[in-house]
Amino acid sequence: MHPSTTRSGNGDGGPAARTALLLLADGRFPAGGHAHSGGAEAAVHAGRIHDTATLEAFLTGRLHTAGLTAAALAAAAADGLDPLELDAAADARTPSPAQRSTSRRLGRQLLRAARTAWPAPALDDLAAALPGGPHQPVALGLTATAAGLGPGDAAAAAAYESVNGPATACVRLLGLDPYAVAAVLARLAPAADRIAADAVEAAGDARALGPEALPAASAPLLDHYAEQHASWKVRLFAS
Amino acid sequence: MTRTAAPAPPPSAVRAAVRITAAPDGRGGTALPVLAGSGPLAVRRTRGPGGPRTAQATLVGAMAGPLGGDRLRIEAEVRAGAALRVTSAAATVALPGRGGEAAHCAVVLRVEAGAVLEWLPEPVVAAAGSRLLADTRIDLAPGARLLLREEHVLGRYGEEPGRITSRLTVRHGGRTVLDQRTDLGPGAPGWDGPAVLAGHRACGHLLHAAPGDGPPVLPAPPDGADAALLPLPGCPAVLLTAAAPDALALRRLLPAPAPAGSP
Amino acid sequence: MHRDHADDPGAAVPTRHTWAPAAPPAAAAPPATVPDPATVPDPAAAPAPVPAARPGGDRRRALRIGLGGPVGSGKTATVAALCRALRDRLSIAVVTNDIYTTEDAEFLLRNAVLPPERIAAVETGCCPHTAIRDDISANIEAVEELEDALGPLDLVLVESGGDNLTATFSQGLVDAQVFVIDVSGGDKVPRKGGPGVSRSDLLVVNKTDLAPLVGADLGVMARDARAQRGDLPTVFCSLAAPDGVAPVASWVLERLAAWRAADGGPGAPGAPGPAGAPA
Repeated sequence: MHPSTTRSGNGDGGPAARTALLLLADGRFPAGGHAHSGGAEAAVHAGRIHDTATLEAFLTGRLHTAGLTAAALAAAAADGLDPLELDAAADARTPSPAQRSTSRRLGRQLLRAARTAWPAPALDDLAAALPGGPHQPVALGLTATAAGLGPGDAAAAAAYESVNGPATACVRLLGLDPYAVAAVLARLAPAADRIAADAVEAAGDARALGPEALPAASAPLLDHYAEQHASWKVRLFAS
Repeated sequence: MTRTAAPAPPPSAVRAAVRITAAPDGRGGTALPVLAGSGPLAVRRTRGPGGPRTAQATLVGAMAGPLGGDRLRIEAEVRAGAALRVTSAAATVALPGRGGEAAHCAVVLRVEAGAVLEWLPEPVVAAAGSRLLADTRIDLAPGARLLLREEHVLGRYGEEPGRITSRLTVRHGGRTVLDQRTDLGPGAPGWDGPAVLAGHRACGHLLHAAPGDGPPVLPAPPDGADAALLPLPGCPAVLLTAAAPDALALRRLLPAPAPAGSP
Repeated sequence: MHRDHADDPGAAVPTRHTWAPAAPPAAAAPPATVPDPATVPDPAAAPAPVPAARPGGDRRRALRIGLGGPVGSGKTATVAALCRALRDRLSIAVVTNDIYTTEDAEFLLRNAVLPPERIAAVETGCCPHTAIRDDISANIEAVEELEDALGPLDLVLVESGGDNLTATFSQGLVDAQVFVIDVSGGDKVPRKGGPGVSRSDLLVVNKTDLAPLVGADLGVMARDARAQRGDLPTVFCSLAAPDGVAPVASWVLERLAAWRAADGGPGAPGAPGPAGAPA
């Protein structure tokens, strides 16, 4: 049951799987993420992100809230916890209907790509069990397993995605200097690594205590942005 | 996270608890068979706007606080057929403790089917330098009605913010339908940035669960406000969440609907 | 039988999400019809009748045609004119990819070329190229959701966001693509080439009525197009003229006939089995 044979014991995929992690975390992996700003478009519209400093503050908040929660769900899914229980836990951690819809859409899109790239019965089962789409971090965790990766890799990919997508969106929306934005992401890398480590630890807790032990970190304005953005008639990003 | 057991409180720290049980009084009203406070936290039955069916209880703090290291716990249970409204006499102001440790405040609410709970205390204010861990757990039976308001304010008027780490967990029929934690104030990464509070100093929510008679009704937030009305997944409950520059502006975004028992 | 409805009539309809005005399934859908054989040119006479690859090996889905081209060249007008010309004989749906979510979709709605439930808009995150070429997930989902909601369709038109000459559709998204340019962009556009001009299945040179006004030499454009495209077809038209879209519409019908012939579907002469028969 537990896919321990496909990964090293420390939750890091090891050299054999490193390239699979790069592929999975690549912004060009065709899983639909390019059209999502993670709240950045609404924050830009509100005038709250307007330069690299405000972008860095936004990303810091997002990483430690939505990023941590997603990373822990992904790690727990890669760690073999029941994906349907994790999906319900993701629902409870996502009070915004717009965010739930976005997360399920991205989960569906990730599964489409993953089932072609790394065919695995677990991915087929997940798609069949949740035809509306699993929450994205749950799909990410099972995709990591299918790709021969471990919980640490899944958490790292989730943490990275939580900042990389919005950062790219701001480069496009504001014409920010891409070197400066790359530097912001580089500065956030150690924090993202810590978040991934915390997520793996929480996933370990959840193995013993159930999904309630997973973090539920949230950010009030990210919820508001998601709802406001979904109501716009004119927008560049899907979320 | 917020639920890990804290080390034993320093000797000066206090523990206080309040327990309230509401049950039908057999005459169409609500009795409070358990209404008990310990330590510096007291609770009294008061006259409320809810009509004869609803019992109102008011929390009264007999001293300042909580201070860092204090541990407060409030439990309320509303049995089938009863209606309870809980308010507080004043805002709760979390103050720094001597050793810099956090104060803990746990609220545990249980509402049975056919029971009504209105939980409408005054805001919790984190004074400069204070650290409060707040944990609210709500267990709703299918058919329970709830109106709950939580308001967190960072810093007293004109003061630097304190820090409030708060987790709200709502179970409906045994299933967790809402689990969210906010970590606000100095030391919480990104808390004042554009993803979290963006300069606001107050945030909170109204939670309304109203089964059986259509979707629960809360006012839609005004245009331009940092607020959102969020239907929770798979249960008849909505969360109105808001952030604002101060407590007054926040309260305007979180107006409580008319009391459940009023005509 | 549509693939999504085949075999199990009790199968749950997949959850719909927020692209489009939610559709009451096929309530307003005209009956799917087979093109009048008289209007379908002989596929053997068509220059390039080989259907494009069919993603996922689906056999019973609609033909998907992508329309790309520079801003203002007339993509949306072409889509609108195609819908008007073909909607009475084909069951059609449209996916738009405007840079701003809904502008093209709203143009189509305002002009009532199709009922609203037949038009979906997807967001492209400021990158219309990516959405039709590199990461087609949102478009694929939009197409599939339209098919799920509306039942069997004959034709889905996917309109790209207006861009420049380098946009091109993924084979994973569409079966054939049309690239629309116009004479007012200058008669050197075909000479510049780019994947849209040189490799699209049909090059449409629109607004030929403006050629004298902008000093564009249609002969030069035709020669350059031939040089870039070899045997791939190019049509010159003016959508402003009555029935100006006719050359494009008849090309679409050719493709559809070829698609159905390859598909063994109901429109195919000598189709080997009943509709929906497995490959």
